[in-house]
Amino acid sequence: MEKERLFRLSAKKLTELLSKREISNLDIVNDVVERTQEVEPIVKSYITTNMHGAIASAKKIDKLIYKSIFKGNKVEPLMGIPIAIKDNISTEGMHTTCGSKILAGYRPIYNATVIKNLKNSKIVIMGKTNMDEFAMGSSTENSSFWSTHNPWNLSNVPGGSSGGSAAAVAVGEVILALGSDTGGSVRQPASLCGVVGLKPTYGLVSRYGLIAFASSLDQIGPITRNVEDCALLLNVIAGHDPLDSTSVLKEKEDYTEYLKQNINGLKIGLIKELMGKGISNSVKDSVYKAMDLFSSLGAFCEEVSLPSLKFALSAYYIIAPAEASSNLARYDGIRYGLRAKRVKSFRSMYRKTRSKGFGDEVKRRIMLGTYALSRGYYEAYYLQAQKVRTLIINDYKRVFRNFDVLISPTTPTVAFKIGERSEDPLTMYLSDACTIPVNLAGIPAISIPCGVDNGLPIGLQIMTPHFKEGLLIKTAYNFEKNFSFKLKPLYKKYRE
Amino acid sequence: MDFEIKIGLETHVELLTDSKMFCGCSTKFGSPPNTQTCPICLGHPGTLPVINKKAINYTIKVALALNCKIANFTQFHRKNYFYPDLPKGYQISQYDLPVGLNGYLDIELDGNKKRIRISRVHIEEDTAKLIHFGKTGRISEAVGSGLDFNRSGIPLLEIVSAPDIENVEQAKAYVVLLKRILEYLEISDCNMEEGKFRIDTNISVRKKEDIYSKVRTELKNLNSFRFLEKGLSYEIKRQKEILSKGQKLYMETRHFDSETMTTKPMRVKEVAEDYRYFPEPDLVPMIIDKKWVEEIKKTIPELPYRRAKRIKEQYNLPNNDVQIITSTKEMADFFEFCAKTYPYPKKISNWITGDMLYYLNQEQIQIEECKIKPQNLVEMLRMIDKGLISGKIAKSVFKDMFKTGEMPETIVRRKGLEQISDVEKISNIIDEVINGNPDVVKQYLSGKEQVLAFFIGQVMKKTKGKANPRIVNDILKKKLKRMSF
Amino acid sequence: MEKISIEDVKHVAKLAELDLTEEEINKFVDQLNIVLEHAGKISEIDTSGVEPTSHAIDFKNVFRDDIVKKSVNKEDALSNSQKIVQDLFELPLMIEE
Repeated sequence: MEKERLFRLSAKKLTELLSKREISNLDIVNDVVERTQEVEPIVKSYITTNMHGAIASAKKIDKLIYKSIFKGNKVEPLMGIPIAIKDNISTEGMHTTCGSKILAGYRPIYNATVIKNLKNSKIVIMGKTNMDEFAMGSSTENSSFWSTHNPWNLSNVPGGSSGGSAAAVAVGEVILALGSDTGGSVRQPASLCGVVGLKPTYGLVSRYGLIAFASSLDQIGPITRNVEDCALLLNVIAGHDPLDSTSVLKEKEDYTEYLKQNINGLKIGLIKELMGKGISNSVKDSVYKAMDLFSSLGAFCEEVSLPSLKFALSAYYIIAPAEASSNLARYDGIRYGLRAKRVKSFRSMYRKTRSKGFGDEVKRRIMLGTYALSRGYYEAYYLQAQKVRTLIINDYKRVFRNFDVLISPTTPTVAFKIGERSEDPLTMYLSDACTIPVNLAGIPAISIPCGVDNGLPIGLQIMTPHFKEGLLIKTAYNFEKNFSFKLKPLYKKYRE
Repeated sequence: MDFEIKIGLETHVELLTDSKMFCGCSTKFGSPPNTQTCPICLGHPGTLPVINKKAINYTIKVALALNCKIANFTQFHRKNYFYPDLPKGYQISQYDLPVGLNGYLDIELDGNKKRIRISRVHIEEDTAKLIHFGKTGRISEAVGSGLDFNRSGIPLLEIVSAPDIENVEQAKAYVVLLKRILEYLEISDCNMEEGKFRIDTNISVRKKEDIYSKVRTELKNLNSFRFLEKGLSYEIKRQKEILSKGQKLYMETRHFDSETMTTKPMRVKEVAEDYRYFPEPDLVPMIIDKKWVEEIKKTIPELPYRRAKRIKEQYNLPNNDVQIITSTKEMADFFEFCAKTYPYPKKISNWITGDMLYYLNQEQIQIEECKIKPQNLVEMLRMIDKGLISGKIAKSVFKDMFKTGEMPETIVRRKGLEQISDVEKISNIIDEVINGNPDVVKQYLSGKEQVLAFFIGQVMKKTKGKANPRIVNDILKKKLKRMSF
Repeated sequence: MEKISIEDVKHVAKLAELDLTEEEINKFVDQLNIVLEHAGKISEIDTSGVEPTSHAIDFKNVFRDDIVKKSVNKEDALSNSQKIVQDLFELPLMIEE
């Protein structure tokens, strides 16, 4: 029998082995690099890899680990663990494109706050992952480089927009990943790739250095293979940042503490509006089964109604494009990125650069958002959408008075075929119907695997009130412990 | 034809903070291009703004000084438009919830007071600096252009007046007073050459009977008091002429050309402006509570108008003196420093509005930059009072003090300028003069008293101006009187 | 809600500084109408008396002190630009066409 490969192990397990000096950090990184070389040509998770840099870091970290153990100290959690970074997070000196031609060649002159945090914890960056251009999409097909393939079935999408990060974690190209979530971009690909994805409360993780899509909705979140690794990574990235005015001043928590607690007596509400039309039967079945499992663990489960959620998708597709149209105005060809050649004046430089640099979906959303903010339409669209947002927040507040936790499917269906929805924006937008309300309300949510249909994983979404990530992790962990799920891509051999 | 003129002024003022509005870069003027920038003020992807509290404090301070209501709830909006000097493609500015609303400023012209309403006081970020290459540095003749981001993100205050101004004189009085107030508040150095105090105007001229006409012209680039005067005068004349011919005016933006002293239409963009304002999602709203407002109130010094009124009453000075003394905060401070330790304010004022102003103008400097300090002037005044120097000698002492900053005693001693008050010595000199001019004595005795001045002049000549004129006068009169018997 | 027209799309493209081909314009008219028809559903909701939400989390008064921090060096500031002249970011002709 083949020796168990290191890339398949959890971060927790790898830290144990490092502590016992059974393996070195270089062993871990080498194995992950080897796995990447095997599968990357097929799955295509990365836009930029940092293999040499990662190996150099691992060698340095090995020395630190040796010193630390020699002094009788523990190996710090996640020290030396390989991580992949979504390509919309700013990494100093490392190519950062946001999946867009307009940023081709851009090398940031600063690190995002989360990257500084990872570096302080000596986590090893393996590369930058593929994504829908500017995080606009649900399939990673909108990357202006190439599509990423779902490692469960290569003809299907990995979800998006953090599809590269989710696929890389699922297939073992890396142990951990960071994604960003504006309307489901961490949870939806996590669900479609059978891994764990968490969107923190708005303001828990600094957005400084996250290339903005929709500023009032964006959050960086961990993508991992299990809840415990998710809690460990959240420990590293959460916390106040003076560089982000929307970052909350709150004492740091150790989210792994919640792993020890049970969910006896927990009140769980299943959101009725997210179990109706458009949700496939297999997904519904898995969610009902999940409810049964929670009940068997001592939780009280009940259906609950949030009527305003019917309008969440509509409000989202006004607010997010409106903010995006403004956030994407800075790509003008002057200070960084693409610049159209042979232009007559500055306006033609703008128009040519932006028309050449942005893909279809990005243009579509810029148009939509510009229209929604333009004179005569602001009140009917943007302002009304913000009022609907208030109604959605109020709905959540109301049900959270009676329920500790809410659940729903993460996505209406399992991963769809590559190309299936790419010409139909509205159907594509509907893939995010279950995840979008959470961003509008700013609450935290996690997606964890809860079943498999036709060889493709199904995700369960769990939601809690603002800043109750601990409760989220506790609930998810109790489910995971009692649900048997095998992440098949980790054991798959891919042939070109 | 009768015309009605309405002018509104929009003033942009760079604040005197150490760091920029939303990042920690320095605001220092005149550094080499692109050396005071960072990912935030360069608008790099992923960066976020954080509000400089001092800039908000300054905004509240100005709004209070201009009698505005301070918004309890205020926030930033994004003003979206494309221009190369705007790195993010939007300016972080304020929209329907500015810090200050509905204030006023009272100007005075020929003793008449006129109230100019202030519509709003808000805070925003400055843009980068466009530099045009070519002979003239003007955009129309540029062979190329470049961008320096040192200015990008410097806190910029916008003060908008209602269209209450009716002529060029009022416009000038408004701007002069506004600038003086801002200098008093010490929130900006208001240096117009460095572009820290910029004026845009809205002008509408209409026939008295056209009460519904709302056409107005925006006039930009009036970056000195002179240009403001010239630009407005030209524009009013131009609009009157058009209306007189029975032609119509159009809404447009015009640019003042300082070379020809005329205004020219700016090239119109095809798309009507639509800034698509929306609340800045990267910043959170501000609540300015009573306590905060009170704290800022405490930092506001006595403002020019009230100070002038007080100084006039307290020191019993004529209007003309008060106007000069309160023209800058520093000059008024100088005067009041002196007045604290010296009991004759009018004498202080005479020197400040006389010799001091003369030398300041000659050297083109401000009072705070000159070497004479209040103690110098007070000491000199005391020496005059004690008869140690004459008024005439004092003038030369003052000139020396202005050059060197030395104390008057030092100058007097060094130059041997002490006044001669020795009665015997003066008496001897007078005898010499009387004996040497018998004809003039005769004239005097025959009733021609004007010749007294001749005698005094002679005595002064012999003493090089150092004889105490009062004593000379006394003795001379006594001696001449005795001779008439 | 009223339908978006070809003229609307052209106007919005100008506001957003995008050059669209005729083909793109036609495609966007159709697609934006579909999306806006869906998004327009929000107009059915009675929101009288409802305050708009810009931030899901209720933060107020976040400031920094007026302290100067080190700027980046000039070379870094200019490093990502395609065109530099005399330490400035070079621009095409500044004329409105």
